[in-house]
Amino acid sequence: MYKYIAKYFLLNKVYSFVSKTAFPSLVIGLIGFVAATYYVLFVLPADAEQQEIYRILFIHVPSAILSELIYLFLAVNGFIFLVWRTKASAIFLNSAISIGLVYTAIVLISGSIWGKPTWGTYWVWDARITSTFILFIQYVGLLALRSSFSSIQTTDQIISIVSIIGAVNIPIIKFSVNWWNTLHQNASITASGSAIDAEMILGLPFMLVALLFISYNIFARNIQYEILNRTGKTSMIREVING
Amino acid sequence: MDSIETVIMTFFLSIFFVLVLCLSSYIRYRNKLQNCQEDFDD
Repeated sequence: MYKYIAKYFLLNKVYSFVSKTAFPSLVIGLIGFVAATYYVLFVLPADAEQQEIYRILFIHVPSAILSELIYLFLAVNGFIFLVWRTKASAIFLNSAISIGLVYTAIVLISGSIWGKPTWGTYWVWDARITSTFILFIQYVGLLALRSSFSSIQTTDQIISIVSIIGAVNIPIIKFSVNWWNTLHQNASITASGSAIDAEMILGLPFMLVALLFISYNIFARNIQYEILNRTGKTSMIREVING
Repeated sequence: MDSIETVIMTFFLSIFFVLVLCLSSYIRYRNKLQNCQEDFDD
């Protein structure tokens, strides 16, 4: 299994793959984002209670899903790196941190803008919002740690350990609205059904997929940078760069 | 505060953040690639 993973993720193959797929994914993502934005802003009807402001949820919810999934991705790659020492996992981990940070910032800002007319305040220290703010601090901390050590090997080990420990916050964010009495509402979409109208709910996966494609472009560029930073002077990467 | 303009501004702000990260990641990679190529040429 280990040999299969190590062989499959040979860095020159990873570099070639992300080089070819980065730009097309950005184009698809931007077209998708414009189409999804048009759909949720101008095609969907206004909500009976919240009027126009409910449309912010179409950027807030996908960003929240991405911010949490990216952190889980960091923890999984941190674990793989610590157990099997695969360079690719350390590179994936380093490449995804900044993306998670931006989506967490978007969640907090869009949630505040939505909260003012709906709850009457930009911010409350309830369990969901506080745990999401802690996630934001975790991302900032990982970025700070990344530039705190001169040795790449030490950096990879430290951020792997920290990302695994920090993953405990993800179930806290997810279940905070069930465990505590919060101002933030419970999940609208559950295994037993959805509280959102079927026509309106379509905008969420549409926007999520568009953002995923754009995020892949950032991830790919970060992977390319990390590979060059670690192996830039070797003959292996020289062949890849020269095609 | 609860108008469509606020919603549009929020969408614009969000995609702006993402695209700034997109651009900065590309520039960082591009500069590194140039440095590597200069090293090879030397």
